[in-house]
Amino acid sequence: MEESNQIEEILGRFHPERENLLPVLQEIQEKVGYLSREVMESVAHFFHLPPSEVFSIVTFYNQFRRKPPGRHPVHVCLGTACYLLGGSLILDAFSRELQIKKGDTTEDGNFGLESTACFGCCNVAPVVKINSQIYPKMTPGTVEEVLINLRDKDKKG
Amino acid sequence: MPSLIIDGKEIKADPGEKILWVALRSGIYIPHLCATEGAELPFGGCRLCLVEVEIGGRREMIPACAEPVREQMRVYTQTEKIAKMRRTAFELIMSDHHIDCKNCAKRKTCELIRISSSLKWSLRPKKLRSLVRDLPIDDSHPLFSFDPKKCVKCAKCIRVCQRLENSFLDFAYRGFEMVLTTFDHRPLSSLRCESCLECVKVCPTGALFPKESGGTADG
Repeated sequence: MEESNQIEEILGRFHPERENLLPVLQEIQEKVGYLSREVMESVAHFFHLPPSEVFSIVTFYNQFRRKPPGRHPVHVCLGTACYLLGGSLILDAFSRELQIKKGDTTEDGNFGLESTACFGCCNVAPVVKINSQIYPKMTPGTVEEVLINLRDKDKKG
Repeated sequence: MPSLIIDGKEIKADPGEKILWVALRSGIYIPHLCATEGAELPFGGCRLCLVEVEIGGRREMIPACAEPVREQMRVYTQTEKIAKMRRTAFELIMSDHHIDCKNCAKRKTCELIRISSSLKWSLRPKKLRSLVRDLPIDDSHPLFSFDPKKCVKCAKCIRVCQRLENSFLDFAYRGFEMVLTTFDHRPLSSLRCESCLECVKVCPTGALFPKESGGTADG
């Protein structure tokens, strides 16, 4: 499989010392998109660490995801300006509409949900970024609208 | 042999020993939950063993389980400030604890009950809201179960399992979301656990408890 070759190639470039654990996890996520159960197990094996410890570290950091990112990764900004203007309500609304928690991907693999800190367009806060497009001045009400439009586009395209 | 002064009493200690164990040995009670005697790296997570230590003329708040003794060190275990801090730490622990002593298998050996009765604190938090998370009990294992709603996250079970070179348990997530769990939340029965039950023995609360039919049930 191509994916396991990629992982082997990455592991091959590192010594199995603890300080290399985070760089390895970061690089695998960058190449593969996420850290699956199997990946966490092979990383644990490589570093001679208990799998429970690798799982502990992967779940501790927000930057790691354990599921594929989804065709439309939804990034809700929780930077200071967006947060003050209700960014967390927008995140809640997406979570409710998509029925997934932050860091998860919908069953059909269409949507992923993440929070990030600042895209640099605080003047139109609160903002959401989906497929490199910025959605300005979001409200919980426009969340549904955004999702309907994306789903429609998918049907047509 | 260094000697230190705890609450005005001069006490002899072994070099490198931590304040907590010296105090307990000489009959000075300091509440503690997560400390293990002889631990190379004290966890220092429960904050119940906070004491005040005189350092360069100033008093500093330090967990007694993590601080090694020094010659002529002055330690205070009973100040008003400490009582306040410990009480808050205890309330924080109890605020997400499912208090159900009547049905708890560990009620006879529960460290929380011991602490609350020796310091005359109520088990139920007074200043904080109770925020018990809705987490499922894992009772897949034939000999013991795990109830995350009673876990105080002292890491004692993690350490003991690690020492026995199994390391099935660890924390996952962080902050309020933190839970004790296995790799990928696998059920306890699916691990190659040899059922030594050491984790159940070190657990200070009813989080890890023996099943009534087997093991060392005493509840």
